[in-house]
Amino acid sequence: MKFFHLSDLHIGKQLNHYNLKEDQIHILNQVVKLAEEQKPNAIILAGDIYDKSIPSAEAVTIFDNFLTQLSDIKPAIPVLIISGNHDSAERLDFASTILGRHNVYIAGLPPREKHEYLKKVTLNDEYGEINIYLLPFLKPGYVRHLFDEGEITSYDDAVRKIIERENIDYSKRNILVAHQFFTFQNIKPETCDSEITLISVGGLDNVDVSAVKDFDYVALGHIHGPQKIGYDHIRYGGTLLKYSVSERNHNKSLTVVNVKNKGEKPEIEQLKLKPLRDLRLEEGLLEEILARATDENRHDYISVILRDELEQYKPKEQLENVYTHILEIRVDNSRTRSKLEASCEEINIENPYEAFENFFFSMQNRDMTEDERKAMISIITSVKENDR
Amino acid sequence: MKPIKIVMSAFGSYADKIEISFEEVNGGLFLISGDTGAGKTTIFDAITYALYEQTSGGIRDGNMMRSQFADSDTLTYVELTFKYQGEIYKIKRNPQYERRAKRKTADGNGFTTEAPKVELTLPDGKVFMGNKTETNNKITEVLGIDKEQFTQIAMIAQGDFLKLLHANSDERKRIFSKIFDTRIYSRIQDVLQSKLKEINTELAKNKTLCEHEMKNVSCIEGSIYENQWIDMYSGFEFKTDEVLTLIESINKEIKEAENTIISSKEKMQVSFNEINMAINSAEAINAMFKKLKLARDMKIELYNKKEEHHNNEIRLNSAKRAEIIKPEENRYIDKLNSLREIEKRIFIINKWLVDNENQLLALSENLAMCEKNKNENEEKLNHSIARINDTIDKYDELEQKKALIVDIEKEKLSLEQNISKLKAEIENLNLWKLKLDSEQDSLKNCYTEFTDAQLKVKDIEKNVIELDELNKLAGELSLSKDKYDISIIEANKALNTYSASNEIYEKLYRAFLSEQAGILAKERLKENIPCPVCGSTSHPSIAVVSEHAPTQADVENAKQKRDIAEKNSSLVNENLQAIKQQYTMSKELVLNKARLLVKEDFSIEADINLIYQLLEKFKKELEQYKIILNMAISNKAKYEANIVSLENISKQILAKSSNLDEITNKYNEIKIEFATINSNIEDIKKHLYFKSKAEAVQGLNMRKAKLHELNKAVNDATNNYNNMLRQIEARKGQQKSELDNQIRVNAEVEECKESYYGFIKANKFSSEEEYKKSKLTLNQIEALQSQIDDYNKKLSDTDNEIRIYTEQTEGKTEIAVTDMIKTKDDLAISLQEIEKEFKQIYALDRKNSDARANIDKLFKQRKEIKSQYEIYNSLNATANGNISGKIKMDFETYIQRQYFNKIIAAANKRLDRMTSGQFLLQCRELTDLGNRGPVGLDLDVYSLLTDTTRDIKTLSGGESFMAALSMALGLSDVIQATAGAVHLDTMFIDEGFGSLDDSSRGQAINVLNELAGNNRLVGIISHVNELKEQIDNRLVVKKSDKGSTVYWAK
Repeated sequence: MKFFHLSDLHIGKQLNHYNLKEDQIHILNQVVKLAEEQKPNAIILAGDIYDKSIPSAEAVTIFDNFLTQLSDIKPAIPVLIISGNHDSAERLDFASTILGRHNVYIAGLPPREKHEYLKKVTLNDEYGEINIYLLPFLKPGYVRHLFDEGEITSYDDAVRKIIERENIDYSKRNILVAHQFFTFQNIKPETCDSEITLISVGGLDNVDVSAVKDFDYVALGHIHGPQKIGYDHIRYGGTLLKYSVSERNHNKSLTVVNVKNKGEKPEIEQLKLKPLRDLRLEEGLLEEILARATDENRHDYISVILRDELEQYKPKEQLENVYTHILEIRVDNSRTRSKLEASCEEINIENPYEAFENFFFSMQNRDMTEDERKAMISIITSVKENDR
Repeated sequence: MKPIKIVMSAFGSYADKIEISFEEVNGGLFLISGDTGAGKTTIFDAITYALYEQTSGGIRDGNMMRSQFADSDTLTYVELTFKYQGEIYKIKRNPQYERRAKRKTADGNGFTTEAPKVELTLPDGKVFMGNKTETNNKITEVLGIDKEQFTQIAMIAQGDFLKLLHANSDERKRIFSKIFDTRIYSRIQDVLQSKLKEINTELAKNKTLCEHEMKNVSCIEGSIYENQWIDMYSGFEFKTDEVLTLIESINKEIKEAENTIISSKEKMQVSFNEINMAINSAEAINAMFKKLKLARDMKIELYNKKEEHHNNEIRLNSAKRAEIIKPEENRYIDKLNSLREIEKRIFIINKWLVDNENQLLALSENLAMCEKNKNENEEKLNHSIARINDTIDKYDELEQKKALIVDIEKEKLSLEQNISKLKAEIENLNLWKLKLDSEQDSLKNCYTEFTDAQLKVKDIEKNVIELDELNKLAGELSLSKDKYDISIIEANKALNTYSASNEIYEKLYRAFLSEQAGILAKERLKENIPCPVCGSTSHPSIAVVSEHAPTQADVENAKQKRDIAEKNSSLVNENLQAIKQQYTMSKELVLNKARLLVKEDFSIEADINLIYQLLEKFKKELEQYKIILNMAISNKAKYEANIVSLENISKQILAKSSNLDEITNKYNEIKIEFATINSNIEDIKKHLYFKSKAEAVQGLNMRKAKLHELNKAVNDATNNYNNMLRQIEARKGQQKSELDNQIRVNAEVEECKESYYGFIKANKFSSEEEYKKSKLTLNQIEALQSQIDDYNKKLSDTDNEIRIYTEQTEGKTEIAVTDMIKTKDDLAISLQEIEKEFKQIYALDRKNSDARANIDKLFKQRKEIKSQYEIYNSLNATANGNISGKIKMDFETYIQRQYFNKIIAAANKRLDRMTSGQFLLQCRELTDLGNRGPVGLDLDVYSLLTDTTRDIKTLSGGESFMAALSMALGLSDVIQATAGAVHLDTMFIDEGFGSLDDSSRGQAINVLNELAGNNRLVGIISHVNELKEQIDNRLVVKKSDKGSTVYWAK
């Protein structure tokens, strides 16, 4: 059983005001091509299909084209989709029953009634049947009513109980698709800036992987860097593109999983992807950065940190002349550092007379005369007395 | 300050009591979402109100705070529980407001005013003692910050967030002034300014005074200094010395002119005095001539009035004579009047006497009649009264006897009833006794009857039991026989079946054996194959199988059937033997018993039915004897009961008979007593006239009253007659004395008349008429006398004057003075004029000298004030930022810049994160400040990239929000740092997130989330959808027709 494990497409995402439409079409086309070549038994999209709960028309079209292209491949490859925290569960669920008849299985909403269960897709391969459970993104509140009062207090409870009530036969081969913040005994996955973390009570939005470790493979979404969490067979697929500067060193790739016999370790393969434009950090002196530009890299998305101590002549304009997609330019030198350093001295308000003396000098460029001094002292004394 | 729980009742948009517990959030970021106007901001308002008695918007009016949806029973209040430095405080507060009364109020409009109240519960659970103001102060003391500071740092209000950002320096100064309490500096500025103003006023006042004094300085007419002085007016304050010198010269000129006038005035005065003396002596002589002439004129006038004077004297004389007669005349008239009076009285008395003598006659007749009436009735009445008095006690006795007889009669009756009742009872008892005696006679054999019946029943019962058992055995025997008969038939049948099946089998077996060759040939013999029997390979005549040849299977089958039948037959046979044995045993048992019980030659075959018949017979007999036994038992019981009853009855008859004797005796005694008393009553009744004592008393009283009436009538009539008689006699006495008077007074009148006429004659009046004409009143006489005296005196005076003035004017003539007077008048006018001239110049002199002294003083003062002005002007210009050509920064602003810089530094820490280091905020340097308008707290944007600054207003909406948010957080930091122990663990941000793009919003939320940490509470009020998805802790406010509700989203 060979399948593609994708997640976090974030279609319609903007990167520092740049529209990523072209980049996303480009990368999705690569996925289609790889599918044609590799002929996987299934393609899994583990949540965050769109970047927004109400995706733009453009974004919907991109995803539509992607699905259409995949469905054109013969023999047909089943596509399994769950909603992520960015998606609107109901919107994603639109027409899912109809699509289900055409090999596109969408699970937008978690079970809402006691008699409802997770969407389960059973596929066959040379080793027999394999069950794929689709667990859409859920918050404790979505499913609390299915259980007794007080049973669900955290995300961990919610996921654990929802899986428990499925009564899964673990003697068979099972795959889970989920989009939660899974951790392993307090070890968190490596995160990056583009994942907007959920803000929940005491930050308890994590689910321990022990809840899902009995599956033969767990295809996760939500975290943007591809990685395993706790066990080799529990993996985040990662994004296809770099969605923030913090991901500049990520190796964005397509995860291909091959699940063979029950109990056999799944084979994982990362297929290289070539983005339309890379995302890089350029750091150093303006001159050096400019010198590093080539025809290949000058269209990349770059974040610039200038380290020149001497102020350069119109650095932004110079950079823009060479690089076409600059995300941001920061200057990091003693000037900016000093600007950022908060003045640590305590606020020291001298007594009013001394303050006035200083003020007088800075305004008049001379000291007060003896008469002025006397007058001022009497004024301040009277004000202070009246103040009481 | 961290809220734990807030309760709002009928507050803002919440109609009922709403309770929000923030403990569910505990720490961190939470979102308040809901429709516009649902009451998101109200939550913050309620917190602010609870703490500071006004909403964040500054509203204090309770009627505005009260929910319009609230019903009259719901009170408006806010109750806030919060934690500060780990301690729990609680504030309950309600505003003053009007609500519809629960009961109708006295004035009938049904409104009642709720008084404002506040209650602070301290961490130890005690309520803070103090009035509202004291409590408010305590709350502020606990929190360490006042309302201004609180709303600035705890709430970034909707639409307000740009205020601090875009405020100009002056507006910012006002905000900081309250927050950091730099008001002392502004007061210093104010005092300086007012001091300067004071000095200015003094200067102006001094100038006015100087001007006034200078106007007091004037020159003499045509002075050489006149123009010079007028020129001096303008700008005099700058040439004070010149002014003073010129005044000196002017004054000198005046002094000279003054001296000239004085000398000419003195000369003029001398001439005037001389001519004045001459005029005075001439006028004295002229006056004497004038008086002489006047006296002579008077003399002539008096002479002309001489005739009139003489007549007056004659008239006075006759009047004086008449005066002597006047008393006589009066006496005569008096006497005459007395006489008339007496005559009138006599007339009245006479008339009265005639009237009353008739009356007296009538009274006398009445008296006689009354006496007659009395004599007729008196004796009869007295007799009657005595008789009644004698019998009155008898009535009481009668009443007593009557009561006694009633009681006795009652007792008699009750005794009669008792006697008849007892007699009847005794009769009844005797009857019952007779009845019982006869009953006992019939029952006397009951014991023997009972014993007999009992024995008989026992006998029969034994027979029935034994027969019943035998009967059962007989039934069983019959069943056993039936079973035995059937078993014999079955055994025969089984034997037959076996024989038949055996026959079939034998037959088939034989047939099978005989067909064996055929079967073998058919199966095995084939051409050219050797025969198993003989080995021949040729088989010319093969045995054939007959058509009905049984197969081996058929044989087997038949054998099986035969075996089954055989087995069955032997089984049935065994069974038969068992049944037979049972039957035989049963038969024996029945026979034995029956021979004992029924008859000795009992045979089962012939007599089996006898058992049952005998049983039935005994059963019937038993029933009969049981009934007889029961009867015997009941008879026995009855007999025993009757013995007891008889004893009882005898006892009762004895007791009742003795009782009857006793009562009969008593009855006879009472009967005798009743007759005695009855005859007594009849006796008494014979002697009594009235029916009762009350009637007797009434009759007695009536008679006594009648007797009294008769006596009274006689007395009254006697009195009336005597009275009248006395009155008539008195009047008659009066009549007599009046008639005597009349005679006496008449004589006196005659005497007076004679004397009066004598006086008229003696005083030389010819008649009474003449006398009456000459008569004058005393006043008239006095007036006439003084007129005569006056004339005489004037005449003598005039003569005297004429004599004196004639002597004095002798040898002298009159002098003409007209010319002299004219000269004198002219001189007087000249003198007046010169005097005026002198006065003018003198006044001028005085005024100028005074003015000079004043001006000198004022100029000295002016110098003093001017030096003060210079000092304060420079101080004021500096403090208030008014130095020309310099930046307009005042002292307070200068101080606030220190806070401002600190706030910006704190803000920049956040802003750097939110904007990825693109820009920072910066306080504009002193050197960069403009000269126009108040400056000092100006905010710039500093671009880190280009090292340039630009105006804050050039920021976009989203950038502005981030900058404002950073500023608010910075402000919060600084306030908490400066206010020392202030810990404000709460912040509300009201909208503004809509202006941010996704990544900026993410950064902003991250900053806030970090800020919140686990301990602080940061509430975001927003509509932005993405926030709803991102923030789990959501307080949802729902609007409805009946006020809003609020709940934590799950």
